[in-house]
Amino acid sequence: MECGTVKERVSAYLDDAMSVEERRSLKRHLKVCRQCALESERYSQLREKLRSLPRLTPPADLTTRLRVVASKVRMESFGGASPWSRWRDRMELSLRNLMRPLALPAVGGLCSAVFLFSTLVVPMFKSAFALSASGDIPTMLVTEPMLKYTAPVAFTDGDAVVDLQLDDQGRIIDFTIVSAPGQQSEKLRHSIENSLLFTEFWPATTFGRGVAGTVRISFRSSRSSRIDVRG
Amino acid sequence: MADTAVGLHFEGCLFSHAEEDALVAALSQGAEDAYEILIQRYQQPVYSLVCRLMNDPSDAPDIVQEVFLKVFRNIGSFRGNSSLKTWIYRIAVNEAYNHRRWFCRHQRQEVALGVEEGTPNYAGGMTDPGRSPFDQASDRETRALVEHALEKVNPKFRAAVVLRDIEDLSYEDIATVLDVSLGTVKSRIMRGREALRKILEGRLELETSMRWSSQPLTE
Repeated sequence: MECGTVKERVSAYLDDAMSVEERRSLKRHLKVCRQCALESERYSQLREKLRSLPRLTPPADLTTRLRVVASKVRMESFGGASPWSRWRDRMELSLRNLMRPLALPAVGGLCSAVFLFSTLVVPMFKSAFALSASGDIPTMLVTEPMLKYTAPVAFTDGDAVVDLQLDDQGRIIDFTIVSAPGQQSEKLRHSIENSLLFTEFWPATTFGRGVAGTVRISFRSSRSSRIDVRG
Repeated sequence: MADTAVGLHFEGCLFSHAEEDALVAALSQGAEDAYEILIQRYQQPVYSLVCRLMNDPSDAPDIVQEVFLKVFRNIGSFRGNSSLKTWIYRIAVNEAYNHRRWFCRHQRQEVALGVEEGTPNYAGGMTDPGRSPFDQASDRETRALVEHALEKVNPKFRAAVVLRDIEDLSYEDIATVLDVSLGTVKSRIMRGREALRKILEGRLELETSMRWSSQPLTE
């Protein structure tokens, strides 16, 4: 066997991957050829070095990743669920994952709202009710002029309806007799003026401040001698 | 739903033919413990093989995951013409080739600043407690040299050498894994070893010249 042929076949010789006859022939050559024997020994050493290489250790998380893959494949192949139920399960899971983070804040918000309502709003309404019951003028409202007091004298000169112009202090600025079923005599006018002289009003208010306003009052003498006021 | 109570129990590292058949049958039925056994038995060999076939071993975990995904999905198409190990190795080699092809197309212009997490530690490995620290350090250095030399070998030749010398597969199994003829396997192993020897020439201390004698080589 030639040296060139030996060089080509020494690898197979080391692996015992050649016929018996070839092996015998190559072995004979190695006995007499120092160069080829050296070459064979080098290949042999190289092979030993390769065989001594350790198996590499996989990263710690690889097993977990492979288990996840196995689980997915098992579910795909042997899950037994129809595509519709799988889709429904996925949707349920997505919804649950979406709602779960909101559940605590939502319940907390609701409880806070109930607590605030019960501790702040209800007492506020109560105080508002109490204010209105005590006759105080609620702020933030528009009110009409109201009669404060009137003359303690009876009005005996017949019925009359009068429009009064009030200033922002509730003082009468002017008046106009709207109707006097009997007659608009000087006497009636005088009688009205006398009554108004002793009459005072609470002024109309807007947002708690007094403003000028108009009020219509009617004097009735025949039956009850009273004054009706309509703002 | 799959039956998970197949009751698989295998001893030892190698499967007998009957055990392999039982495992494949259990996998085909979707038995949970069969998946676990497959992962435990083949995770490390496949990872080790893929690492040595890749130029960038940090991609190896992703490739191993792809390999197992294909194994799990296609276990039904395993006909038993070769051993389960050979079949899985074939998938692993193909995945590594595909990934390398993809990598060559999308060549990364990145510069590694240090040893990344997940990169196999070639300097590590099993050490013989009976050897001196100097010898152990020398072994580690030698292994690192051999590993780096392997990376420089043509991928086709490298795969053949790794399967033969590290994974200890027979020529027939290597031919099945690489899907080539026996002659091609021989040629690739020979060329791979030759390339390795040339790369390591002068770097590794081959004590041949000192130990060589005219005694006949043992058979």
